[in-house]
Amino acid sequence: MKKLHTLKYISKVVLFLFCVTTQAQEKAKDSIAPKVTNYGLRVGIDLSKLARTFYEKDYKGLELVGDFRIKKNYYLAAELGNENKTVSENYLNFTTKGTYLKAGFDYNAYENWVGMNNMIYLGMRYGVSSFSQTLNSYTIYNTEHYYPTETNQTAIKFNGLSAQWLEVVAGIKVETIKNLYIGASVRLNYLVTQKQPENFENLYIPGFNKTYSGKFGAGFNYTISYFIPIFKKQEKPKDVK
Amino acid sequence: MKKYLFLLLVVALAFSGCEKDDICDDSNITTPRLVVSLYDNFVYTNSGIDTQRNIIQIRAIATGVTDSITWNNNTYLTNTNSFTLPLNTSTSSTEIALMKYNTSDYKGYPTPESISNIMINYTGKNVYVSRACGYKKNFELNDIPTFNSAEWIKNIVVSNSIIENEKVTHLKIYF
Repeated sequence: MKKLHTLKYISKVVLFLFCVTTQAQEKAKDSIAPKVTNYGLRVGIDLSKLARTFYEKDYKGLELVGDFRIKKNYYLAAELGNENKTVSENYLNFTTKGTYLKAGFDYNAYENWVGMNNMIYLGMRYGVSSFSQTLNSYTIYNTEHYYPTETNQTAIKFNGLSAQWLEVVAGIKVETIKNLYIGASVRLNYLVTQKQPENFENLYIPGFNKTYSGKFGAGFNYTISYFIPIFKKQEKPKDVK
Repeated sequence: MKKYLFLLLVVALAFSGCEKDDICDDSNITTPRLVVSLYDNFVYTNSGIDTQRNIIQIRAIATGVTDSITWNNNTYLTNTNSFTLPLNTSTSSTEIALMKYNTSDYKGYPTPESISNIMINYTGKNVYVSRACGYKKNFELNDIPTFNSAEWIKNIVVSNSIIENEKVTHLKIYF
């Protein structure tokens, strides 16, 4: 019975993703009892990557986000994504393609009023990415301009690249209508390890974003997500022994 | 809450806008030129000792290029015992006419005293430098550059066949 219930909700999320938002509201249970906390799975999508896919010529990306409440203020959280980005620098042009997974937790530091479920959170993730880089073209850098500049147009593909990193996350999630959340987060990344191509460099890592000379990177996302309640838990009154 | 949201948006936008302007600065070693040192052939053939010898004035032009090679924007070098020559990165050989002058008083482009054509054969290797600099090309000399000994150059010795920087001499020219 419970399984069926969950299935029903999952199908609703799918419907929601196709912009049928009103349907999802109908059977949402209201939380009258003040000491009852909803536990469940929240799934969503990064709107910024979706938007960039449409307005940026050299970018395609998709990121699915999800979290699962395990304690009153703790959530297991993960992001799964795929990116395809072409970058044009002064002397080279390359395309990075790959998939990433980030997993970790969020801690909600926001004290909600009764019945509210908003979050201002801090979290951590461990990210892994598997990708390829294609050097589309490059120009030989030469301080001497006596001869014509040499530009190589033959694409060179570097397969089997990977990276792992740590991410510190700060963000918010706001419940706009029942069980529907919008969120934003910023991330500071620290590269732990990476497999570099020979005679080239990982200049962009899916999920990690642009690599600077050091080990740090940064990222952000804007999410819209839907909360699927799975079970409710009565909170213990604090004063009773 | 709205205040926090606003703050986060500002921070996020700041991050998204931080495409730093990457410039390849001079601290990077990029495509090197060939470093040539001049030696006294008379001393070398009689005693086998390398003695550096100054040339009064020199000018260089590569085959297929109309302009002179420049050194700090000068088409001539005066009273020098070493100079650099750029190699063509697009080909595997470069022929350069080295013109020797016996006086540095000339204005314009007078007739040189002697012209030696040297033919340099090499294998290039493209080496990644950085995001801002892209790739450089290092060279390895395939053989001793050929020249006509009837002109001013009497002998050429390769002292470093691998050309990766301009800190060492690659060719010794005796005259």
